[in-house]
Amino acid sequence: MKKWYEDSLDTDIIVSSRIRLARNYKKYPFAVRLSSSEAEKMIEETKNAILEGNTVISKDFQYISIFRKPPIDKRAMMERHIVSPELVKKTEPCGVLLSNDESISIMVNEEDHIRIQCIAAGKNIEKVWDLADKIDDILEEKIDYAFDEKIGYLTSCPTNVGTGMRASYMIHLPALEWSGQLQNIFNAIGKLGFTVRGIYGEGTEAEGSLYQISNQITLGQSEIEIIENLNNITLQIEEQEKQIREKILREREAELKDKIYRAYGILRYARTLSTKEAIALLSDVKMGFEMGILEEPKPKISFYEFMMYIQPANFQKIIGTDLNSKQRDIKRAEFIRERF
Amino acid sequence: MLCERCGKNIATVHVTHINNGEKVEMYLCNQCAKETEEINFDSPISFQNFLTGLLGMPFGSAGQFKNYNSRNKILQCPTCKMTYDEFRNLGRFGCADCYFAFREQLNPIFKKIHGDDIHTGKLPNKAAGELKIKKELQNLKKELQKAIKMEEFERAAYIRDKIRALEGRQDK
Ligand SMILES: [Zn+2]
Ligand SMILES: [Zn+2]
Repeated sequence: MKKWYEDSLDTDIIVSSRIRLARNYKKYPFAVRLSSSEAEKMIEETKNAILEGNTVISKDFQYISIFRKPPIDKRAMMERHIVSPELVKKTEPCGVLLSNDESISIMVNEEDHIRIQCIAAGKNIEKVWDLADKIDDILEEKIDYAFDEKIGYLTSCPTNVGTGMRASYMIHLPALEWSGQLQNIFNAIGKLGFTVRGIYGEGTEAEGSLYQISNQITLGQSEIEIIENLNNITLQIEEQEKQIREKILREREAELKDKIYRAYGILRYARTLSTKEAIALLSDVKMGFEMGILEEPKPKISFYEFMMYIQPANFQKIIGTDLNSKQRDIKRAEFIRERF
Repeated sequence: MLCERCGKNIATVHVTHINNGEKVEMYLCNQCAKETEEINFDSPISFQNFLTGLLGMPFGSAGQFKNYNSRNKILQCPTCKMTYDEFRNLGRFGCADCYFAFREQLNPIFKKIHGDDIHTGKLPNKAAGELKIKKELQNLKKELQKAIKMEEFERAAYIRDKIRALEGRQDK
């Protein structure tokens, strides 16, 4: 079965849309107080809620125990956003219920007992919210959630209480980054209860000019209101990115075209490429196509697909783990060249 | 604890930076946190860590951050035995009942983090029917105000009818 990011349209500043819902059982202590045997029981119950019985979705899911997995597998799943860095670090029983196309992952025993995550390519947040909402309803048929009339879904951390929802877009902002204006925008967003960070969560570096913008407020606003606010803010950032792209094209045309064509040339002909270099160049090429600057044939797979395949752990899963980093760089250049 | 950068102000923020692939952790005052954030925008200040700073403020007004209740008994969750002090250090609750054990302490914290302390979003289907209707009415009334403001009168009339129907069900 195809993964959600395969065949994704790839012409947009908004790369993907994601919803996360945090839920907890009423009857089990939260993660910091949960014993290993309680965790095993809780995981079993959650697995059954999805996999057993005749729900429409049971056939589409499999359970993967994470804490027993080899580090490279864990890391590969983290790179594909199936699991969080927090889950990867856990030494207690934990796992993930994953849909075949990897668009739905339900982490079990992360910071909260249950974290439903749904993701889709492009600007699709409403669709993704609908899906997360439905998965939540299915789980709730079997599970008594920790919930309070006044403050909503009770979560391990007070920053998630209420809706337990984090709605986010992954956005590609090379021109804003180049212009040095990102920090101003990030500061303004912070005042509105939203945050921007690197795509692998808190404290991670932005790779390929990709940023994740998400809500911080989970209490006092409904899911729909949060999504509306996220849409408004993201639309403005998208608009700014477009304007700056045009400004750069007007004022520094030769420099911009040179940068983009160089990136294209290197990706097409280079014989060794590190992950970091490849991602930076792919980001330039993505912008080049979107701005209509590049008239060469498009690569055979999308920018985001490249991102998913050439990250360190995922790439090692493709080419094998017995190569050293120099040999991997050669293989990476070859992998990209074949698709350009 | 004093700020590790200026050494003058009280540290309120825990900052994590990635510097050349190395993780650097620092406790900073608000001022310094702001200044370093401007330099190092790849790794914005962690909100969760900021929270621990917020919860840990030892000189909160009116004693709301104290580990004792009004009768001077230690604040502790009866179910999981987590004390308020422990929660403050971890930034994590031990179980659902902690929310009720620390209720008085928490409302001002929710207001600080979220600007609000009332949930207006989704309700579990299992939540009592009464409650569902009450919340739905609240939401519909909000929507009605919006529709009137935007001069979408047809929509407003439609919402008003829905409100009446719901109120009818509530009276029964
Ligand atoms: Zn300072
Ligand atoms: Zn408790």
